[in-house]
Amino acid sequence: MSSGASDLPSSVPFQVRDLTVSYHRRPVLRDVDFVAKPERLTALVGPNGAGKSTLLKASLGLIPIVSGDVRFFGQPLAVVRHRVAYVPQRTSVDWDFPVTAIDVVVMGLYRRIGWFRPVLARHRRTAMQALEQVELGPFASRQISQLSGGQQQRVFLARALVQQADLYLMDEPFAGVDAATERAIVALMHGLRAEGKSAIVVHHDLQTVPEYFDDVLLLNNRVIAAGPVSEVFTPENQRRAYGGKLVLLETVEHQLSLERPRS
Amino acid sequence: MTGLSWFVLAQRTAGLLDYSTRMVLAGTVLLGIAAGIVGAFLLLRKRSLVGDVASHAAVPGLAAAFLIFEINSPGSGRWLPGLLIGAAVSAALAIWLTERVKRIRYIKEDAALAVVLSLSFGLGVCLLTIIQSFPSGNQAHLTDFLFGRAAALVEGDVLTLTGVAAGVLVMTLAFFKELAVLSFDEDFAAAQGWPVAKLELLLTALVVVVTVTAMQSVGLLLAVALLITPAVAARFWTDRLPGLVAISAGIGALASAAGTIVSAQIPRLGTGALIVVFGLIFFILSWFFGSKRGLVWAWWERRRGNREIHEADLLRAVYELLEAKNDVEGRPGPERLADLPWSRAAVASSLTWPARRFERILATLLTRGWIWLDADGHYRFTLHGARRAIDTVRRHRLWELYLLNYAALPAGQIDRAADITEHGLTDAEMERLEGLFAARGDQSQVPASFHKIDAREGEPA
Ligand SMILES: Nc1ncnc2c1ncn2[C@@H]1O[C@H](COP(=O)(O)OP(=O)(O)OP(=O)(O)O)[C@@H](O)[C@H]1O
Ligand SMILES: [Mg+2]
Repeated sequence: MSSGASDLPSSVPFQVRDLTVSYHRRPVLRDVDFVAKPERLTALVGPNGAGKSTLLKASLGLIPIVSGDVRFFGQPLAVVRHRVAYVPQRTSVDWDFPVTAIDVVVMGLYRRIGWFRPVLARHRRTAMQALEQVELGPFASRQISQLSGGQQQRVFLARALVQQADLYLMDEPFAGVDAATERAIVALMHGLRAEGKSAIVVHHDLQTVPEYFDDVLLLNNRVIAAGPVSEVFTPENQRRAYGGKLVLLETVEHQLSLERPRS
Repeated sequence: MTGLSWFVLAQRTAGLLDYSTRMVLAGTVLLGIAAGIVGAFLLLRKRSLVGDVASHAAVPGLAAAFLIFEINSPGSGRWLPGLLIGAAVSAALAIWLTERVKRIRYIKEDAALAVVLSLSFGLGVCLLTIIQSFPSGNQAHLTDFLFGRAAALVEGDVLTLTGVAAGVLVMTLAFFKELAVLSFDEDFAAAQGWPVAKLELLLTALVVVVTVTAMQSVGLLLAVALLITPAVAARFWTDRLPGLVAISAGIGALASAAGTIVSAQIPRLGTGALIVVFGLIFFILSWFFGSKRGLVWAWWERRRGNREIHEADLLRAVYELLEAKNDVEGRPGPERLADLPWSRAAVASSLTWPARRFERILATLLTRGWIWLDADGHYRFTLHGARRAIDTVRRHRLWELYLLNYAALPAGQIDRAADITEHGLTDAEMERLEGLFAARGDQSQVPASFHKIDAREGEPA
């Protein structure tokens, strides 16, 4: 919290200082400090109700902040909004809404198209490419309720991809997708990183954190630990983030490992 | 061509109507269009009841405006622009109040709407009672605005309504993308930096304007029907937003036209009520016959799909029976297959179908000329039927092989696999699959296509 931190270069994609957020007077995030590194994939992990979604939403101005400051690329969101894309957790949209998969992806381009201008054929082509990237090309003209849960998830991923942002905030992109899709999404994220982009991804599967991500932010109401996976993703820190729950899991795991050699 | 004849018909119908009816017709149709457009967005934004609040809450504003003018200079109360402004202001206030009440933690949206709606309407009724006691109150006919008196529309009103309809059209076209993204995914719209609150305000303003202008024709209390019914009906015809808005406007216009024309023939029936009734009729028609989600279509599609599957299953069952019983060499040609007799009992027992379905599908295949009944009471494939059976079996086996060998592949292909069934395979895809298996040396398990069989007829297996 030194004053030097306030002059972070514009290369830092995401920086949170002293962020406190509360719902109805009950603080959900307390004094969160975090600096994301550029060209890195950061996992945001923590138990249910830790405030992971809240952190992303508050950063994007979707819910009010009690105190604190959020910067994207060294600037307030309003200035660099076009460089930030957000994939919400299992979106609560009306699945019966009269839009097709490609219509949803085109929405990612609306900002670039701008006020009063219509969607043109070339916008649809761009959207189509994004759909193909998530391997949904053949489903472009499906009404969205006629897609499987994993496919719906990927439509929203494509909507974020099409924005050509430099920072992606993804809330549980792997929830409810099969293993093959998960690998495809990870490959996509690694592709983004290779292009010099960064992502902050809410992730629940602790096993795959070291494999998929470079950095990790362990959160539970406050920051438990943050930094490179190899340094901070220790069992000790995980236990601190997950409290009793993980201990329980660990005991079960331990017992299983004891049983295995015998059988 | 049909468009032109419709136009001619419309012109003739209009020619039959007298001048004032034509004015009423123009007014209600324009209003129907405006309401249809706004209603589509309102419905998608899940704010249907906001229209209800707006219309009920317009009543106290209407009455209050009348009272204010009447007190200032008796006899001037029924000044239309004043009444419209009064109605609009109180409708807007009520919607704002609903939003506030909704934010109280334990009050859900429906409760907030109900509270504000009944309170403001109650207030309106009180004010109307007070107006009755005024000397000029009885002549004011304020209740006309509750139930509408379209017959009273004059040229000036039509001009106003034209302006309203044009304004609504321009606004919704100009902000189409923005209203769409707001209705579909508010969080995303906000994250992208669209001014969500202002867009919401725009939509609310459009609703209030349409409701208040509707009070002259269909009346305040029925305005919400004009807003929502066409949009709900339109949903049965399309899966795309532009289509929905256009169809909703069209249904709004049609219902208004029908209601107006019928009420011109039967003077005692109120235009507003008839318009709403026609809206309901269009809704029911759409519900049954709509091409996207209509009951009849869905039923027909499902039936057709089931029948195709059942037919294929029956063909395959017969083929497999013949294959097992006659020890058919690897790939029987259609001529050979058509030679072999089979009994219905044997096929029926190999399929676990209800008897009625079996009879029906068997009869279908007979009428199609795919199978026939010979003099000994045995069934046989016709040559054409035999080809169908071979093709069906080939598809089925290719498909099974495909699932067996390639199901564990990348995400996109799995979805593709889950999506197309064996019945949906195109010939090109079949060729590709066949090529794929040939390359892997799996061809022995795959019955070749019939044109290939024809070519290889003489060859040793
Ligand atoms: N709209 C809301 N109103 C009140 N409390 C809320 C609201 N949304 C979330 N909360 C509370 O805030 C806390 C943090 O919620 P949040 O959605 O950020 O958790 P999360 O870390 O994303 O959890 P999960 O892993 O289950 O998605 C939870 O205790 C939750 O109950
Ligand atoms: Mg969450």
